[in-house]
Amino acid sequence: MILAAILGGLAGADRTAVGQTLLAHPAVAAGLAGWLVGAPAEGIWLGFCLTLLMQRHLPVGYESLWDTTSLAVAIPLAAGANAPEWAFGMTLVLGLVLARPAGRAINLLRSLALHNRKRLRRRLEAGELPPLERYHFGMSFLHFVRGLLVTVILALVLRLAIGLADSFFDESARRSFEAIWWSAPLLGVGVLLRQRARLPWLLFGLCLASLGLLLWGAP
Amino acid sequence: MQSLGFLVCLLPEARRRGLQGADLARWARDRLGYFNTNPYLAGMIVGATLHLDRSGREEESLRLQKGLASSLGALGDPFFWEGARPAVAYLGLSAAFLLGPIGILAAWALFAIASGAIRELCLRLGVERGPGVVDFLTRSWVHRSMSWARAAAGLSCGLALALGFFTRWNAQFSPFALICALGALICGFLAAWRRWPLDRVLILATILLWGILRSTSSM
Repeated sequence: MILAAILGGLAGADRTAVGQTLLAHPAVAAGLAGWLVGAPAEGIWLGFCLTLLMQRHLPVGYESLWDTTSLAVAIPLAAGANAPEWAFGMTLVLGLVLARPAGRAINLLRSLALHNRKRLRRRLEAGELPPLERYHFGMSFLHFVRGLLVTVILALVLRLAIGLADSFFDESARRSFEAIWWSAPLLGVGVLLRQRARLPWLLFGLCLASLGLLLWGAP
Repeated sequence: MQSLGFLVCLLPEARRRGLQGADLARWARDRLGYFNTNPYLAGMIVGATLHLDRSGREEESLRLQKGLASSLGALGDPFFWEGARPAVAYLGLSAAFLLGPIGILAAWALFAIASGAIRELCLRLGVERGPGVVDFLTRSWVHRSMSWARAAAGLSCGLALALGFFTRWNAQFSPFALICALGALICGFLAAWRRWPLDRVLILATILLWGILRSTSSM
C-alpha cells in the first residue's frame, strides 16, 4: 500500500516536473501498481484500457487534463489482489469521472509556478537574488506530494465505492461492470478508426500479430 | 516551471563566469521570461545559450532562446507525444501480454535510456554548434522522423490490440461479449466523430447495459 502510494507520487512528479521517463504513462504506472499489489494481469489490462481511452488527450500546453497517472495507480491499490472483475470495471468508470477534477491539481501547481515566476522576477528587478534552486526543487517536490496525495485520496474513495457496491449492487449491475471492464479498450479502438493517418499501420500491426499468434500459438 | 528549470540549468555557468549579486540578478531577470518547449529537446536550447554566453553574445542568445523554443516544441511534441511515447507504451503492453509485468519494466527502461541519450545528444549539439543547431533542425530526416514515429505508434498499437484481445477474450468469448464489443466500437467511433468525452460515453454505456441486463433478467 505504502509502496504503491510512493509509486503514485513518483509517477506524479515524472508526469510534469522530473524525468518524464514514461513512468507516468498509464500503461507503465498501472502495470507496476498491479504488480505491487499482487494483481499483475489486471494492472496490465487497466494500463491497456487507459492508454486507449486517453489517447486523444496530449499533455501539451495548458490544456486541462484527466489525471490518469494517479488513477492508474489508485485503481489496483483500491481493488487489491483478489478483487472480482466487476470491481475493476466499476472503479474504472468512477475513476475516470474523478480523474478530471483530480487533474485540476496539476493546473493549480502550474498557476503556482506562474505566480512564483512573477514574484521572482519582481525581486530580480529590484536587484535582489532569491534562492532560485530552492524554488525549483521545491516545486518539483510539490508535484511528488500532489501525485501521492491524489493517488491516496482516489484509492480511498474507490475502495469505499467498492465496499458500498458490494452490499448494494445486484447481479445485473455486476455483470454490466464486468462487460465494461473487458470491452472498454474497444471504445478507444473506435476512436482509432477515425485517425486515418495511423490506421494502415495499425491494421498492419494487427495482421502481423494475428499471423504470429496463428503460427506460434497463443501465449 | 520550464522557465525556472531553464534558468537553474544555466546558473552554474553564470557563477563560473564570476557573476554575483546585482549583476547575477540582472542576468537572471533577462532569462526568467516565458519559456515553453518540448522537454526532451530543451537541452539543445540550454547548450546553444551556453555556447553564445561563453562567446559574449548574450543578446543573440536571448533571441535564439525564444526562436528555438517554439521550433523545438513544434518538432518534439508530435514526435514524442504522438509517436515515441505511445509506440514504446504499446510495445511494453504487447510484451506484458506475453511475458507479464517484466515487459512493462523493459519498455520503461528502454524509453528512459533512449530519451536520456536524446537529451544528452541535444545538449552536446547545442554546446558544440550554438546557433548552428538551426541548420540541423532543417534537415529532412528530422522532419521525416515525426511521421515514422507516428507509424511506429500505429504499428505497435495494432500488435498490442491483437495480443491484448486474444489473451483476454480467448477465455471469455460469447455472443453477449460480441454484442458488447460491437457496441463499444460503435460508441467509440461516434464519440470520436462527435467529439464526445469518453468518460461520459462510458457512463452512458454502463447505465444502458445495466438497464438492458436488468430488464432481461426480470423477464
